[in-house]
Amino acid sequence: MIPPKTDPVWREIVDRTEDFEVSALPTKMLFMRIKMLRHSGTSQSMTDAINAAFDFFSKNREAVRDDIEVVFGKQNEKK
Amino acid sequence: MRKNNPVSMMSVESANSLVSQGLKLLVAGEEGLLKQLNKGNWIGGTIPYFMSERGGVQTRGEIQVTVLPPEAKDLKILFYDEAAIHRIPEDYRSNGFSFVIIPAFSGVHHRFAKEGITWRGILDRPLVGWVSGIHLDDLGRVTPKVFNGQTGEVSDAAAVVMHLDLPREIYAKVNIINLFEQGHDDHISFPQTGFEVEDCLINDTTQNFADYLIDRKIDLKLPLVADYFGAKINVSVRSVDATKKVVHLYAPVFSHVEYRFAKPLRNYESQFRARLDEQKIDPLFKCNCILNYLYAELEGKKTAHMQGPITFGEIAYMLLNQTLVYLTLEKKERGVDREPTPKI
Repeated sequence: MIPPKTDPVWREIVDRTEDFEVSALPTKMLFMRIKMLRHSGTSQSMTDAINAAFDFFSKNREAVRDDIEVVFGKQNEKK
Repeated sequence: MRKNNPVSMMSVESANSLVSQGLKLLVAGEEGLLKQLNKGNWIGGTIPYFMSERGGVQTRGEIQVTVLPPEAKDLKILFYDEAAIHRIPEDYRSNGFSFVIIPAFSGVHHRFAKEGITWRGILDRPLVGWVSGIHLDDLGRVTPKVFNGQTGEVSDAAAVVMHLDLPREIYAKVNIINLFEQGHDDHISFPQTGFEVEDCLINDTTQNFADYLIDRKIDLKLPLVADYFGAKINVSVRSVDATKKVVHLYAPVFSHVEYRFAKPLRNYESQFRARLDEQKIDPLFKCNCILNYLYAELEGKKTAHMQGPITFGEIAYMLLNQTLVYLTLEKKERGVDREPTPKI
C-alpha cells in the first residue's frame, strides 16, 4: 500500500497535507513539520518533506494504519 | 491491552527489591533517594511531585516506580549530550519504543526543544518521556538530574534514553491529553523559533509580545495553543520582562506556526476525568505538567487512575507544556483488541 519513494503521489501528499484528516499524534506532527518545510519553499525542503513522509509511513505501517488508509486511500480513489 | 497499573510510590528499599529482580523500571524521585538505588535495568529523573495512588503529592521521602512489562525487551540505556541528542533515532529499535528523560534548564533540553521535531527519523518510533526537575524551593540552588541505572552515572547535562523492542505482534503508541482549546481572540505568530520572544505578529501586525501581554492583561496561566492538524500543542509563558521587553517561555514557539491563547479552563480535575472516561485508556506510562499541578491545584486531587511524575516538561516526540503524555501498548491484529485512536 505504501508506494515507492519515486512515485509522484508523495509530492501530492506533501503539497496537500491539509486535505487529510489524520488521527495519530505522530502523523499530525509529521504534517506540521511538512507544513514548516513547505514555508521555506526550496527544492531541498520539498525533498526533505518527501523523505520524512516516506520514512514515517514505511516504518509505522501498523501504528498509523488508519492514517495510511486516509492518505493513500484518497490517492487511490483519484486514480 | 494492559489491564493493571504497575506504577507506585514506594521506599528506596522496596524499589531496590524490584531492581534486584532484574525488572525494567522507570524511576522518579529526589536526587538523594535515586542515588541510593542499586545498579540495574532502570533510568530515572529527579522530581518530588507526582500523580500518585493517593492523588497529587509532593514528597522527598518516596520514589515513584513504573514497572515495564516483560514484553519490552532488548533494553539499551544511553546518554546523549547536547552535541549527540539528534542521534536518538539512530538507536531506535525496529519495533520498539524509547523513553527519554532530559534535565531541565540544560543545553540538551533547549536543543531538543528547538530542533527535535526537525531531526530525521525522530517520529519513526514512539518517543516518550519527560523533563526532570527539582522542588520549587530549590530553584537556583540545585540542578535537575537524570540517572543511568545500569552504570550508576548521573548527569545534569545529558539526556538519558532507554530503548526497548517489542515482539512483532505488539506495538507502542504515544498520545496526549490536552484540555486546553484555542480561544477565539487574536492569532499570534513569531518571526523566529525560540524560548525568548521580543517581536511577534498579532493578526499579522508586528508588535512587541511583552507589551501585548501587559496591555491586554493576558492570564499567563493560560498557554499559547497551536493546532497541529487537530492536535493541540501548548507553549506556556514563564515570565515577562517588562523592562527588557522580552517574554520567556517554557517551550519554544516555532516560526510559521499560528498560536492563540487558550480558552479559560474550569475545574481541571473534573474535565480531566470526563476526558478519560471518554477514552477508556489504560496507559503503561504517563506524566503530567508541573504547571497543571500548580495552576489547577492538583495536590491531594486524583487525576482518575493516571499515575506518573509531575514534570518540568512532557515529551511526546517533542517538548510539550501543560499536557498529559501517555504511552500504550497495542496488539497488532486488526479488529482484535485494537483500540481506536482517541481524541487528542
